[in-house]
Amino acid sequence: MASESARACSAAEAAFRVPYANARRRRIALVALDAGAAGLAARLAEQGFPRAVSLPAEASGGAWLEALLAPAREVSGLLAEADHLFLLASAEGDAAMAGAVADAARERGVPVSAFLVAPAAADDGTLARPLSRLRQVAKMLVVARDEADVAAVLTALRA
Amino acid sequence: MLRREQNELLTRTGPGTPMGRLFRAYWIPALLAEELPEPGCPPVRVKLLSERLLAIRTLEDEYGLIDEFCAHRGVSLWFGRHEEGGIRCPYHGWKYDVTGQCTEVPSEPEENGFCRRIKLTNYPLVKIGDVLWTYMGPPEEQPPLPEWEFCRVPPEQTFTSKRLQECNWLQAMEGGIDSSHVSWLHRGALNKDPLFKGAKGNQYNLNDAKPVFEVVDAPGGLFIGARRNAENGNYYWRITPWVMPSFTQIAPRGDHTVHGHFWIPIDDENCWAWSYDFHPTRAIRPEERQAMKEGHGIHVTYVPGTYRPAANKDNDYLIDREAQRRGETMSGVAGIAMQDASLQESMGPIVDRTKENLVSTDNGIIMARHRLLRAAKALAEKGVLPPGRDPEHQRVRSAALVLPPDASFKDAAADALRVREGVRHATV
Repeated sequence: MASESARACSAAEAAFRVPYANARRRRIALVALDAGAAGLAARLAEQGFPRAVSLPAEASGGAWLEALLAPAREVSGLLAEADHLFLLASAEGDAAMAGAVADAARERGVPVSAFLVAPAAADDGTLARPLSRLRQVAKMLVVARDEADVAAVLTALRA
Repeated sequence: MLRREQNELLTRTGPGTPMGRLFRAYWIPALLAEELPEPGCPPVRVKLLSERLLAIRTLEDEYGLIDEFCAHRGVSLWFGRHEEGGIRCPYHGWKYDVTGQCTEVPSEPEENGFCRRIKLTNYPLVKIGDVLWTYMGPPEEQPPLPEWEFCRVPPEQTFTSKRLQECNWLQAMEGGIDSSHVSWLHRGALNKDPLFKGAKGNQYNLNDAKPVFEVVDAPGGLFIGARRNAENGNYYWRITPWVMPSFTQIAPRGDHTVHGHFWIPIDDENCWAWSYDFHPTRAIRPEERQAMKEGHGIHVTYVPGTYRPAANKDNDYLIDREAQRRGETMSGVAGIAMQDASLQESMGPIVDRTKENLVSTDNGIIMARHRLLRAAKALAEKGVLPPGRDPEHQRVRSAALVLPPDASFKDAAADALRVREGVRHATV
Protein backbone atom coordinates (compact mmCIF):
# COMPACT_ATOMS: atom_id res chain seq x y z
CA MET A 1 0.00 0.00 0.00
CA ALA A 2 1.23 3.46 -0.87
CA SER A 3 0.40 4.75 2.60
CA GLU A 4 2.82 2.28 4.11
CA SER A 5 5.85 3.58 2.24
CA ALA A 6 7.65 6.86 1.73
CA ARG A 7 5.60 7.27 -1.44
CA ALA A 8 2.78 8.40 0.81
CA CYS A 9 4.06 11.96 0.58
CA SER A 10 1.75 12.61 -2.36
CA ALA A 11 -0.95 15.26 -2.35
CA ALA A 12 -3.59 12.55 -2.44
CA GLU A 13 -2.21 10.90 0.69
CA ALA A 14 -1.87 14.27 2.43
CA ALA A 15 -5.66 14.37 2.47
CA PHE A 16 -5.60 11.52 4.99
CA ARG A 17 -3.49 13.29 7.55
CA VAL A 18 -5.15 13.24 10.94
CA PRO A 19 -7.36 16.33 11.00
CA TYR A 20 -7.56 16.90 14.74
CA ALA A 21 -5.83 19.73 16.60
CA ASN A 22 -2.27 18.86 17.61
CA ALA A 23 -1.55 21.50 20.25
CA ARG A 24 -3.18 23.53 22.95
CA ARG A 25 -3.12 27.29 22.73
CA ARG A 26 0.21 28.75 23.76
CA ARG A 27 0.34 31.54 26.29
CA ILE A 28 3.00 34.09 25.48
CA ALA A 29 3.86 36.82 27.96
CA LEU A 30 5.22 40.15 26.76
CA VAL A 31 7.26 42.46 28.94
CA ALA A 32 8.36 45.86 27.65
CA LEU A 33 11.65 47.04 29.11
CA ASP A 34 11.62 50.73 28.16
CA ALA A 35 9.36 53.49 26.94
CA GLY A 36 10.00 52.75 23.26
CA ALA A 37 9.15 49.12 23.82
CA ALA A 38 6.03 50.14 25.77
CA GLY A 39 4.86 52.06 22.72
CA LEU A 40 5.44 49.03 20.56
CA ALA A 41 3.59 46.86 23.05
CA ALA A 42 0.60 49.22 22.96
CA ARG A 43 0.50 48.99 19.16
CA LEU A 44 0.70 45.22 19.35
CA ALA A 45 -2.20 45.14 21.78
CA GLU A 46 -4.25 47.16 19.29
CA GLN A 47 -3.59 44.40 16.77
CA GLY A 48 -4.98 41.81 19.15
CA PHE A 49 -1.76 40.46 20.66
CA PRO A 50 -1.53 39.90 24.43
CA ARG A 51 -1.22 43.03 26.51
CA ALA A 52 2.33 43.58 27.72
CA VAL A 53 3.50 44.61 31.14
CA SER A 54 5.64 47.74 30.84
CA LEU A 55 8.44 48.18 33.32
CA PRO A 56 9.97 51.50 34.23
CA ALA A 57 13.20 52.03 32.34
CA GLU A 58 15.17 52.29 35.54
CA ALA A 59 14.56 51.65 39.20
CA SER A 60 16.07 54.61 40.93
CA GLY A 61 15.00 57.80 42.67
CA GLY A 62 12.95 58.12 45.81
CA ALA A 63 9.87 56.31 44.60
CA TRP A 64 11.59 53.36 42.94
CA LEU A 65 9.88 50.77 45.07
CA GLU A 66 6.41 52.08 44.31
CA ALA A 67 7.27 52.41 40.61
CA LEU A 68 8.27 48.80 40.45
CA LEU A 69 5.82 47.16 42.76
CA ALA A 70 2.72 47.09 40.60
CA PRO A 71 4.41 45.99 37.35
CA ALA A 72 6.45 43.44 39.27
CA ARG A 73 3.25 41.88 40.56
CA GLU A 74 1.86 41.88 37.04
CA VAL A 75 4.97 40.18 35.67
CA SER A 76 4.75 37.57 38.37
CA GLY A 77 1.12 36.91 37.50
CA LEU A 78 1.91 36.69 33.80
CA LEU A 79 4.76 34.27 34.32
CA ALA A 80 2.62 32.00 36.46
CA GLU A 81 0.44 31.37 33.42
CA ALA A 82 2.94 31.73 30.58
CA ASP A 83 4.50 29.14 28.30
CA HIS A 84 7.01 31.59 26.86
CA LEU A 85 8.26 35.07 27.69
CA PHE A 86 9.20 37.67 25.10
CA LEU A 87 11.17 40.67 26.28
CA LEU A 88 10.68 43.78 24.18
CA ALA A 89 13.40 46.39 24.11
CA SER A 90 14.17 49.39 21.96
CA ALA A 91 17.13 51.60 21.21
CA GLU A 92 15.69 54.10 23.70
CA GLY A 93 16.59 51.99 26.70
CA ASP A 94 19.33 49.76 28.04
CA ALA A 95 17.30 46.70 29.02
CA ALA A 96 18.36 47.18 32.63
CA MET A 97 15.56 44.99 33.98
CA ALA A 98 16.12 42.15 31.53
CA GLY A 99 18.13 40.06 33.94
CA ALA A 100 15.68 40.35 36.81
CA VAL A 101 12.67 39.45 34.68
CA ALA A 102 14.52 36.58 33.03
CA ASP A 103 15.54 35.22 36.43
CA ALA A 104 11.93 35.19 37.50
CA ALA A 105 11.00 33.40 34.29
CA ARG A 106 13.73 30.84 34.73
CA GLU A 107 12.58 30.07 38.27
CA ARG A 108 9.16 29.26 36.83
CA GLY A 109 10.57 27.26 33.94
CA VAL A 110 9.45 29.76 31.32
CA PRO A 111 11.82 30.11 28.33
CA VAL A 112 12.88 33.61 27.35
CA SER A 113 13.23 35.21 23.92
CA ALA A 114 13.84 38.84 23.15
CA PHE A 115 13.26 41.48 20.54
CA LEU A 116 15.45 44.51 20.21
CA VAL A 117 13.69 46.84 17.82
CA ALA A 118 15.96 49.55 16.54
CA PRO A 119 15.72 51.83 13.56
CA ALA A 120 18.28 51.30 10.83
CA ALA A 121 19.87 54.59 11.83
CA ALA A 122 20.61 53.41 15.37
CA ASP A 123 24.36 53.17 15.80
CA ASP A 124 26.13 50.19 17.28
CA GLY A 125 27.13 52.11 20.40
CA THR A 126 23.50 52.83 21.23
CA LEU A 127 22.57 49.19 20.88
CA ALA A 128 25.57 47.71 22.66
CA ARG A 129 24.13 47.94 26.17
CA PRO A 130 20.67 46.48 25.57
CA LEU A 131 22.13 43.92 23.19
CA SER A 132 24.61 42.73 25.74
CA ARG A 133 21.98 42.42 28.46
CA LEU A 134 19.44 40.68 26.29
CA ARG A 135 22.04 38.27 24.94
CA GLN A 136 22.79 37.10 28.47
CA VAL A 137 19.22 36.04 29.10
CA ALA A 138 17.49 35.24 25.81
CA LYS A 139 17.53 31.86 24.15
CA MET A 140 16.54 33.57 20.92
CA LEU A 141 17.24 37.18 20.11
CA VAL A 142 16.00 39.12 17.12
CA VAL A 143 17.46 42.49 16.26
CA ALA A 144 14.74 43.96 14.09
CA ARG A 145 14.73 47.15 12.07
CA ASP A 146 11.00 46.91 11.51
CA GLU A 147 8.49 46.35 14.30
CA ALA A 148 6.34 44.39 11.86
CA ASP A 149 8.83 41.58 12.47
CA VAL A 150 7.61 41.35 16.06
CA ALA A 151 4.02 40.90 14.97
CA ALA A 152 5.09 38.35 12.36
CA VAL A 153 6.94 36.25 14.92
CA LEU A 154 4.16 36.44 17.51
CA THR A 155 1.61 35.43 14.89
CA ALA A 156 3.76 32.54 13.72
CA LEU A 157 4.13 31.36 17.32
CA ARG A 158 0.35 31.57 17.80
CA ALA A 159 0.55 34.27 20.49
CA MET B 1 2.14 29.02 11.67
CA LEU B 2 0.92 30.63 8.51
CA ARG B 3 -2.62 31.33 7.47
CA ARG B 4 -3.79 29.23 4.56
CA GLU B 5 -3.71 32.16 2.13
CA GLN B 6 -0.18 33.07 3.22
CA ASN B 7 0.96 29.51 2.65
CA GLU B 8 -0.61 29.56 -0.80
CA LEU B 9 1.05 32.84 -1.64
CA LEU B 10 4.52 31.67 -0.61
CA THR B 11 4.40 28.26 -2.23
CA ARG B 12 2.85 28.95 -5.64
CA THR B 13 5.38 30.17 -8.17
CA GLY B 14 3.73 29.65 -11.54
CA PRO B 15 3.17 32.46 -14.05
CA GLY B 16 0.97 35.23 -12.69
CA THR B 17 1.40 34.39 -9.02
CA PRO B 18 2.94 36.93 -6.61
CA MET B 19 5.69 34.54 -5.57
CA GLY B 20 6.26 33.55 -9.18
CA ARG B 21 6.68 37.22 -10.00
CA LEU B 22 9.19 37.50 -7.16
CA PHE B 23 11.31 34.58 -8.40
CA ARG B 24 11.16 36.11 -11.87
CA ALA B 25 12.91 39.22 -10.52
CA TYR B 26 16.18 37.29 -10.09
CA TRP B 27 18.75 35.38 -12.08
CA ILE B 28 18.20 31.78 -11.03
CA PRO B 29 20.15 28.57 -11.70
CA ALA B 30 18.55 26.73 -14.61
CA LEU B 31 20.93 23.93 -15.55
CA LEU B 32 24.37 22.65 -14.80
CA ALA B 33 26.77 23.66 -17.55
CA GLU B 34 27.56 19.95 -18.00
CA GLU B 35 24.02 19.39 -19.28
CA LEU B 36 24.82 21.32 -22.45
CA PRO B 37 28.42 20.21 -22.87
CA GLU B 38 29.18 21.35 -26.43
CA PRO B 39 27.78 23.31 -29.38
CA GLY B 40 25.01 21.41 -31.10
CA CYS B 41 24.58 18.97 -28.20
CA PRO B 42 21.14 17.45 -27.54
CA PRO B 43 18.68 19.98 -26.12
CA VAL B 44 17.46 19.57 -22.55
CA ARG B 45 13.87 19.77 -21.31
CA VAL B 46 13.72 22.12 -18.36
CA LYS B 47 10.75 22.91 -16.18
CA LEU B 48 11.19 26.05 -14.08
CA LEU B 49 8.60 28.00 -12.12
CA SER B 50 5.93 25.77 -13.68
CA GLU B 51 6.98 26.64 -17.23
CA ARG B 52 8.11 23.91 -19.61
CA LEU B 53 11.13 25.11 -21.49
CA LEU B 54 13.89 23.80 -23.71
CA ALA B 55 17.54 24.63 -23.19
CA ILE B 56 19.66 24.64 -26.32
CA ARG B 57 23.27 25.25 -27.26
CA THR B 58 23.44 26.01 -30.94
CA LEU B 59 26.04 24.99 -33.45
CA GLU B 60 27.28 28.60 -33.17
CA ASP B 61 27.77 28.07 -29.41
CA GLU B 62 24.96 30.30 -28.26
CA TYR B 63 22.83 29.31 -25.26
CA GLY B 64 19.08 29.72 -25.29
CA LEU B 65 16.06 28.84 -23.18
CA ILE B 66 12.83 28.76 -25.16
CA ASP B 67 9.28 27.47 -24.93
CA GLU B 68 9.56 23.71 -25.28
CA PHE B 69 6.75 23.40 -27.80
CA CYS B 70 6.59 24.27 -31.47
CA ALA B 71 4.19 27.12 -32.21
CA HIS B 72 2.69 25.13 -35.10
CA ARG B 73 0.89 22.22 -33.47
CA GLY B 74 2.55 21.95 -30.11
CA VAL B 75 5.05 19.14 -30.49
CA SER B 76 8.07 19.12 -28.24
CA LEU B 77 11.12 20.70 -29.80
CA TRP B 78 13.21 18.30 -27.74
CA PHE B 79 12.98 16.12 -30.83
CA GLY B 80 14.39 19.01 -32.86
CA ARG B 81 17.50 18.92 -34.97
CA HIS B 82 20.29 21.45 -34.70
CA GLU B 83 21.00 23.27 -37.92
CA GLU B 84 22.94 26.38 -38.73
CA GLY B 85 21.22 29.29 -36.98
CA GLY B 86 18.91 27.32 -34.74
CA ILE B 87 16.84 24.23 -34.10
CA ARG B 88 14.34 22.71 -36.53
CA CYS B 89 11.13 20.97 -35.52
CA PRO B 90 11.18 17.54 -37.11
CA TYR B 91 7.41 17.45 -37.66
CA HIS B 92 6.96 20.07 -40.42
CA GLY B 93 10.34 21.74 -40.47
CA TRP B 94 9.63 24.97 -38.61
CA LYS B 95 12.93 26.44 -37.51
CA TYR B 96 13.70 28.68 -34.52
CA ASP B 97 16.74 30.64 -33.53
CA VAL B 98 18.16 30.91 -30.00
CA THR B 99 15.78 33.75 -29.13
CA GLY B 100 12.74 31.65 -30.07
CA GLN B 101 12.19 33.62 -33.24
CA CYS B 102 10.82 31.45 -36.01
CA THR B 103 13.10 31.81 -38.99
CA GLU B 104 11.60 29.33 -41.42
CA VAL B 105 8.20 27.82 -42.14
CA PRO B 106 8.85 25.60 -45.16
CA SER B 107 5.19 25.27 -46.16
CA GLU B 108 4.72 29.03 -46.47
CA PRO B 109 6.10 31.27 -49.21
CA GLU B 110 9.15 33.01 -47.83
CA GLU B 111 8.00 36.38 -49.18
CA ASN B 112 4.78 36.48 -47.12
CA GLY B 113 6.83 36.88 -43.91
CA PHE B 114 4.66 34.44 -41.94
CA CYS B 115 7.57 33.12 -39.92
CA ARG B 116 8.45 36.60 -38.67
CA ARG B 117 5.13 36.71 -36.86
CA ILE B 118 5.95 33.54 -34.92
CA LYS B 119 8.07 33.82 -31.80
CA LEU B 120 8.35 31.49 -28.86
CA THR B 121 8.85 32.79 -25.34
CA ASN B 122 12.53 32.89 -24.59
CA TYR B 123 14.72 33.72 -21.65
CA PRO B 124 18.43 34.52 -21.53
CA LEU B 125 20.73 31.67 -20.55
CA VAL B 126 24.20 32.61 -19.36
CA LYS B 127 27.08 30.44 -18.18
CA ILE B 128 28.77 31.64 -15.00
CA GLY B 129 30.86 29.09 -13.16
CA ASP B 130 29.41 25.57 -13.38
CA VAL B 131 25.91 26.92 -13.78
CA LEU B 132 23.68 28.16 -16.60
CA TRP B 133 21.61 31.02 -15.20
CA THR B 134 18.36 32.37 -16.50
CA TYR B 135 16.24 35.42 -15.87
CA MET B 136 12.51 34.89 -16.49
CA GLY B 137 11.18 38.37 -15.68
CA PRO B 138 10.42 41.48 -17.68
CA PRO B 139 13.43 42.38 -19.86
CA GLU B 140 13.33 46.00 -18.73
CA GLU B 141 13.82 44.92 -15.11
CA GLN B 142 16.68 42.50 -15.73
CA PRO B 143 19.23 42.82 -12.89
CA PRO B 144 23.02 42.63 -13.29
CA LEU B 145 24.46 39.15 -13.71
CA PRO B 146 24.83 37.15 -10.49
CA GLU B 147 27.90 37.70 -8.35
CA TRP B 148 27.72 34.74 -5.98
CA GLU B 149 31.25 33.89 -4.91
CA PHE B 150 30.89 30.16 -5.57
CA CYS B 151 30.43 30.76 -9.28
CA ARG B 152 32.97 33.57 -9.59
CA VAL B 153 36.05 31.78 -8.20
CA PRO B 154 38.34 29.92 -10.66
CA PRO B 155 36.92 26.57 -11.88
CA GLU B 156 39.38 24.50 -9.85
CA GLN B 157 38.02 26.08 -6.64
CA THR B 158 34.37 25.21 -7.12
CA PHE B 159 32.00 22.25 -7.53
CA THR B 160 28.24 22.41 -8.06
CA SER B 161 25.61 19.68 -8.21
CA LYS B 162 21.86 19.59 -8.27
CA ARG B 163 19.28 17.05 -7.19
CA LEU B 164 15.59 16.64 -7.66
CA GLN B 165 13.66 17.22 -4.47
CA GLU B 166 10.07 16.03 -4.61
CA CYS B 167 8.39 18.72 -2.55
CA ASN B 168 7.67 22.42 -2.64
CA TRP B 169 10.69 24.73 -2.68
CA LEU B 170 9.82 26.54 0.55
CA GLN B 171 9.94 23.60 2.93
CA ALA B 172 13.25 22.60 1.36
CA MET B 173 14.69 26.08 1.77
CA GLU B 174 13.44 26.41 5.31
CA GLY B 175 15.59 23.43 6.20
CA GLY B 176 18.58 25.42 5.00
CA ILE B 177 18.01 28.27 7.43
CA ASP B 178 17.08 26.06 10.35
CA SER B 179 20.48 25.57 11.99
CA SER B 180 18.98 23.93 15.06
CA HIS B 181 18.44 20.60 13.26
CA VAL B 182 22.13 20.07 12.52
CA SER B 183 23.06 18.87 16.01
CA TRP B 184 20.29 16.28 15.74
CA LEU B 185 19.69 15.06 12.25
CA HIS B 186 23.28 15.36 11.01
CA ARG B 187 24.93 14.49 14.30
CA GLY B 188 26.49 11.31 12.97
CA ALA B 189 27.92 13.01 9.90
CA LEU B 190 29.87 15.76 11.60
CA ASN B 191 32.69 13.50 12.68
CA LYS B 192 32.55 11.04 9.79
CA ASP B 193 31.78 12.78 6.54
CA PRO B 194 35.07 13.50 4.73
CA LEU B 195 33.90 17.00 3.86
CA PHE B 196 32.98 17.88 7.44
CA LYS B 197 35.11 15.89 9.86
CA GLY B 198 38.13 17.06 11.79
CA ALA B 199 37.13 20.67 12.37
CA LYS B 200 37.46 22.04 15.86
CA GLY B 201 34.09 23.72 15.42
CA ASN B 202 32.42 20.30 15.24
CA GLN B 203 33.17 19.73 18.90
CA TYR B 204 31.45 22.97 19.86
CA ASN B 205 28.46 21.72 17.89
CA LEU B 206 28.42 18.31 19.48
CA ASN B 207 29.07 19.57 23.00
CA ASP B 208 26.17 21.99 22.93
CA ALA B 209 22.98 20.80 21.29
CA LYS B 210 21.06 23.84 22.49
CA PRO B 211 22.49 26.80 20.63
CA VAL B 212 21.22 30.31 21.19
CA PHE B 213 20.05 32.08 18.07
CA GLU B 214 20.24 35.67 16.93
CA VAL B 215 18.65 36.92 13.75
CA VAL B 216 19.58 40.27 12.25
CA ASP B 217 18.71 42.07 9.06
CA ALA B 218 21.05 42.04 6.11
CA PRO B 219 20.73 44.12 2.94
CA GLY B 220 19.70 41.11 0.88
CA GLY B 221 17.89 39.13 3.56
CA LEU B 222 19.09 37.94 6.94
CA PHE B 223 22.08 36.79 8.92
CA ILE B 224 21.16 33.94 11.23
CA GLY B 225 23.67 33.40 14.00
CA ALA B 226 23.83 30.29 16.17
CA ARG B 227 25.86 30.73 19.32
CA ARG B 228 27.42 28.02 21.43
CA ASN B 229 29.73 28.13 24.41
CA ALA B 230 33.46 28.12 23.72
CA GLU B 231 36.50 28.39 25.98
CA ASN B 232 37.17 31.22 28.44
CA GLY B 233 33.62 32.52 28.39
CA ASN B 234 33.73 33.24 24.67
CA TYR B 235 31.11 32.19 22.16
CA TYR B 236 31.45 30.02 19.06
CA TRP B 237 29.28 31.54 16.35
CA ARG B 238 28.03 29.91 13.19
CA ILE B 239 26.56 32.54 10.91
CA THR B 240 24.40 31.68 7.94
CA PRO B 241 23.45 34.29 5.38
CA TRP B 242 20.09 33.95 3.66
CA VAL B 243 19.70 36.07 0.57
CA MET B 244 16.37 36.46 -1.14
CA PRO B 245 14.73 34.55 -2.58
CA SER B 246 16.44 31.23 -1.80
CA PHE B 247 20.21 31.37 -1.38
CA THR B 248 21.95 30.10 1.73
CA GLN B 249 25.52 29.41 2.69
CA ILE B 250 26.38 27.00 5.49
CA ALA B 251 28.90 28.19 8.05
CA PRO B 252 32.29 26.61 7.27
CA ARG B 253 34.17 23.96 9.18
CA GLY B 254 37.96 24.11 9.48
CA ASP B 255 39.70 24.33 6.12
CA HIS B 256 36.98 22.36 4.40
CA THR B 257 35.28 23.86 1.41
CA VAL B 258 32.30 26.14 2.04
CA HIS B 259 28.89 24.65 1.21
CA GLY B 260 25.60 26.15 0.32
CA HIS B 261 22.36 25.88 -1.58
CA PHE B 262 19.85 27.44 -3.88
CA TRP B 263 16.29 26.07 -3.96
CA ILE B 264 14.54 26.67 -7.24
CA PRO B 265 10.93 25.68 -7.93
CA ILE B 266 10.38 23.26 -10.80
CA ASP B 267 6.67 23.44 -10.17
CA ASP B 268 4.70 23.77 -6.94
CA GLU B 269 5.41 20.20 -5.84
CA ASN B 270 9.03 19.74 -6.93
CA CYS B 271 12.19 21.78 -6.75
CA TRP B 272 15.85 21.64 -7.63
CA ALA B 273 18.14 21.58 -4.64
CA TRP B 274 21.32 23.16 -5.94
CA SER B 275 24.37 22.38 -3.85
CA TYR B 276 27.72 24.10 -4.21
CA ASP B 277 31.11 23.73 -2.60
CA PHE B 278 33.93 26.17 -3.08
CA HIS B 279 37.06 27.39 -1.41
CA PRO B 280 37.87 31.09 -1.64
CA THR B 281 41.64 30.69 -1.77
CA ARG B 282 42.64 27.22 -2.87
CA ALA B 283 41.78 24.55 -5.41
CA ILE B 284 39.46 21.78 -4.32
CA ARG B 285 41.70 18.79 -3.67
CA PRO B 286 41.24 15.72 -5.88
CA GLU B 287 40.06 13.63 -2.94
CA GLU B 288 37.56 16.31 -1.96
CA ARG B 289 36.19 16.56 -5.49
CA GLN B 290 35.96 12.78 -5.64
CA ALA B 291 34.06 12.75 -2.33
CA MET B 292 31.60 15.30 -3.71
CA LYS B 293 31.04 13.18 -6.81
CA GLU B 294 30.49 10.15 -4.58
CA GLY B 295 27.68 11.93 -2.75
CA HIS B 296 29.44 13.02 0.41
CA GLY B 297 28.92 16.33 2.12
CA ILE B 298 25.79 17.98 0.79
CA HIS B 299 25.84 16.08 -2.51
CA VAL B 300 24.18 12.80 -3.51
CA THR B 301 24.53 9.89 -5.88
CA TYR B 302 21.94 9.55 -8.60
CA VAL B 303 19.69 7.15 -10.39
CA PRO B 304 21.91 6.71 -13.47
CA GLY B 305 21.19 9.15 -16.25
CA THR B 306 19.14 11.46 -14.04
CA TYR B 307 19.51 14.01 -11.26
CA ARG B 308 17.13 12.04 -9.07
CA PRO B 309 18.87 10.81 -5.90
CA ALA B 310 19.60 7.09 -5.77
CA ALA B 311 17.97 7.05 -2.34
CA ASN B 312 14.45 8.30 -2.94
CA LYS B 313 10.89 7.83 -1.81
CA ASP B 314 10.41 4.80 -4.07
CA ASN B 315 12.95 2.82 -2.06
CA ASP B 316 12.20 4.35 1.35
CA TYR B 317 15.46 6.28 1.01
CA LEU B 318 17.36 3.02 1.58
CA ILE B 319 16.67 3.38 5.27
CA ASP B 320 19.00 1.41 7.54
CA ARG B 321 17.34 0.77 10.89
CA GLU B 322 20.46 -0.93 12.26
CA ALA B 323 22.56 2.18 11.61
CA GLN B 324 19.83 4.19 13.30
CA ARG B 325 19.80 1.84 16.28
CA ARG B 326 23.59 2.04 16.58
CA GLY B 327 23.33 5.83 16.56
CA GLU B 328 25.31 6.25 13.35
CA THR B 329 22.41 8.14 11.87
CA MET B 330 19.44 9.72 13.59
CA SER B 331 16.88 8.86 10.92
CA GLY B 332 18.42 5.75 9.39
CA VAL B 333 19.00 7.62 6.14
CA ALA B 334 22.59 8.02 5.03
CA GLY B 335 24.12 11.26 3.80
CA ILE B 336 23.46 14.82 4.85
CA ALA B 337 21.54 15.79 1.71
CA MET B 338 19.18 12.85 1.81
CA GLN B 339 18.72 13.12 5.55
CA ASP B 340 17.27 16.56 4.86
CA ALA B 341 15.41 15.68 1.67
CA SER B 342 13.75 12.54 3.04
CA LEU B 343 12.26 14.39 5.98
CA GLN B 344 11.26 17.42 3.94
CA GLU B 345 9.56 15.24 1.32
CA SER B 346 7.76 13.34 4.08
CA MET B 347 5.98 16.60 4.95
CA GLY B 348 3.96 16.21 1.74
CA PRO B 349 4.23 18.06 -1.56
CA ILE B 350 3.22 21.35 0.08
CA VAL B 351 3.29 21.23 3.85
CA ASP B 352 0.21 22.55 5.64
CA ARG B 353 1.70 25.35 7.71
CA THR B 354 -1.61 26.11 9.41
CA LYS B 355 -0.96 23.07 11.62
CA GLU B 356 2.66 23.62 12.57
CA ASN B 357 3.78 24.64 16.04
CA LEU B 358 6.90 26.72 15.67
CA VAL B 359 9.21 27.53 18.54
CA SER B 360 11.57 30.40 19.14
CA THR B 361 14.49 28.65 17.41
CA ASP B 362 12.43 28.86 14.24
CA ASN B 363 12.65 32.64 14.18
CA GLY B 364 14.98 32.63 11.18
CA ILE B 365 12.33 30.76 9.23
CA ILE B 366 9.59 33.07 10.48
CA MET B 367 11.50 36.19 9.50
CA ALA B 368 12.48 34.83 6.09
CA ARG B 369 8.83 34.06 5.37
CA HIS B 370 7.87 37.53 6.52
CA ARG B 371 10.39 39.10 4.16
CA LEU B 372 9.27 36.96 1.25
CA LEU B 373 5.63 37.80 1.86
CA ARG B 374 6.37 41.48 2.18
CA ALA B 375 8.55 41.56 -0.93
CA ALA B 376 6.12 39.53 -3.04
CA LYS B 377 3.25 41.84 -2.12
CA ALA B 378 5.30 45.00 -2.67
CA LEU B 379 6.34 43.78 -6.10
CA ALA B 380 2.87 42.62 -7.10
CA GLU B 381 1.00 45.63 -5.77
CA LYS B 382 3.47 48.50 -6.15
CA GLY B 383 6.16 47.24 -8.50
CA VAL B 384 8.84 47.55 -5.83
CA LEU B 385 11.82 45.42 -6.87
CA PRO B 386 12.96 43.11 -4.06
CA PRO B 387 16.26 42.88 -2.16
CA GLY B 388 18.88 40.38 -3.29
CA ARG B 389 19.15 41.56 -6.90
CA ASP B 390 22.00 43.93 -6.20
CA PRO B 391 25.35 42.16 -6.71
CA GLU B 392 26.51 43.69 -3.43
CA HIS B 393 23.75 41.79 -1.63
CA GLN B 394 25.14 38.61 -3.15
CA ARG B 395 28.72 39.18 -2.11
CA VAL B 396 28.19 37.65 1.33
CA ARG B 397 29.90 34.82 3.16
CA SER B 398 28.99 32.52 5.97
CA ALA B 399 31.40 32.44 8.89
CA ALA B 400 32.35 30.33 11.89
CA LEU B 401 34.30 32.14 14.54
CA VAL B 402 34.88 32.61 18.25
CA LEU B 403 33.96 36.04 19.60
CA PRO B 404 33.99 37.73 23.01
CA PRO B 405 30.70 37.43 24.87
CA ASP B 406 29.67 41.05 24.51
CA ALA B 407 30.36 41.37 20.78
CA SER B 408 27.55 41.83 18.30
CA PHE B 409 28.23 39.13 15.72
CA LYS B 410 27.12 41.25 12.81
CA ASP B 411 29.54 44.00 13.71
CA ALA B 412 32.40 41.92 15.07
CA ALA B 413 32.26 39.63 12.05
CA ALA B 414 31.47 42.34 9.50
CA ASP B 415 34.61 41.66 7.44
CA ALA B 416 34.13 37.92 7.67
CA LEU B 417 30.59 38.19 6.33
CA ARG B 418 31.50 39.84 3.03
CA VAL B 419 33.42 38.52 0.07
CA ARG B 420 37.06 39.55 0.07
CA GLU B 421 38.79 38.24 -3.01
CA GLY B 422 41.92 36.28 -2.23
CA VAL B 423 41.18 36.27 1.50
CA ARG B 424 40.34 33.04 3.25
CA HIS B 425 36.97 32.65 4.88
CA ALA B 426 36.58 32.94 8.66
CA THR B 427 36.38 29.42 10.00
CA VAL B 428 37.05 27.27 13.05
